[in-house]
Amino acid sequence: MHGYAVITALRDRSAGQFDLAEGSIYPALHRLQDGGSVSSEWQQVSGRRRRVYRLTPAGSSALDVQRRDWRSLMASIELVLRPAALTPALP
Amino acid sequence: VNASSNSESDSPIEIYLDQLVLALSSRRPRELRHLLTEADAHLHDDAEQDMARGVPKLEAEANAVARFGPAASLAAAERFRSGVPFRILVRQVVCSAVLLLGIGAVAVGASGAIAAGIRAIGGPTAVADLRGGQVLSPSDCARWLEQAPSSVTSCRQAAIDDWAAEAIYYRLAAGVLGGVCLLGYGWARSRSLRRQHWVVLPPSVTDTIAVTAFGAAGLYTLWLGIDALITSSGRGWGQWLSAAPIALVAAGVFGWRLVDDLRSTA
Repeated sequence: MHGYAVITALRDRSAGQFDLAEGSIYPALHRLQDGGSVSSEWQQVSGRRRRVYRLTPAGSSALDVQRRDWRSLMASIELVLRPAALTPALP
Repeated sequence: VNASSNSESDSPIEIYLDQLVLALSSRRPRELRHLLTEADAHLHDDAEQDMARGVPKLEAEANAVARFGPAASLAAAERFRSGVPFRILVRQVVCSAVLLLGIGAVAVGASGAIAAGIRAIGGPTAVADLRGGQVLSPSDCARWLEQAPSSVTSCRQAAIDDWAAEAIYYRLAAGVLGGVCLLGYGWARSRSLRRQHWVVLPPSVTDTIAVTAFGAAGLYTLWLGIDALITSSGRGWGQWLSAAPIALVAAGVFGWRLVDDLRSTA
């Protein structure tokens, strides 16, 4: 995916919740590339020269770990926020 | 051809890409070229989406630029990502050094003005004196007496007059040079800010250096001045105590700024 496709997908899949400054995607992608999580190559797409990014195996593993961590964190927060846990037991 | 040139010069995307080149001028050429290609493709893709919905071209381009975010923010994020290149670091150190040296030299000039006031009130011996056991050579004496007014007949007095004058005028000259330094710094700063790539060391670094230098100079000259008052019956005290308050006030100002910097980043 190229940068514009990434930011568009991010906006669409979050139903418009992640409406970030679109340019901020590029430093983020470049940082991921520096860290070896994505690789890139230049391609001609729809008449324009674009840098297309691809998840590397290392990036894929890192994504799995972070996804697992995130779900675990969300599950913990859900447990804390359950209404029953917030209501003190009355005598 | 003219219509095409005008249309290009009015294009919000072209104007934005120009700003991006200026904001990222310190980057390596290839990095800059690649980022510009990405930004250019992104902005035109985005503008074309709006144009497909019937938005006029200029408005669509302006919308795309607004959604992309300020060029300065993108440049800052890129700088943060890849660190500061060595030549930028050198430029930061040189700019900060010129600022600190300029302020230091102006402070020296201010101490010269105070020393001139002390000499006017207390005479040359309040500003300069012979050190204990100091021997004046006949050739120096001849030179000092030649420069001194005819009313001065002793070598000692002529020497003290000369040293007191040096303590004042050399410091005033340093103050003028410091002022020139600061004017040059201000000019370079405003010129670079227009090109959006002004770089100096973080304020907490320069403030720490300034507090240390001014504080040490202030305490040292204060000690020498008090020593002159106690051990030399006050002779030559003005040379040191003209500098101490200026240095201590400067240390206080930079110290206050440093505390402010540290609080704001804590």
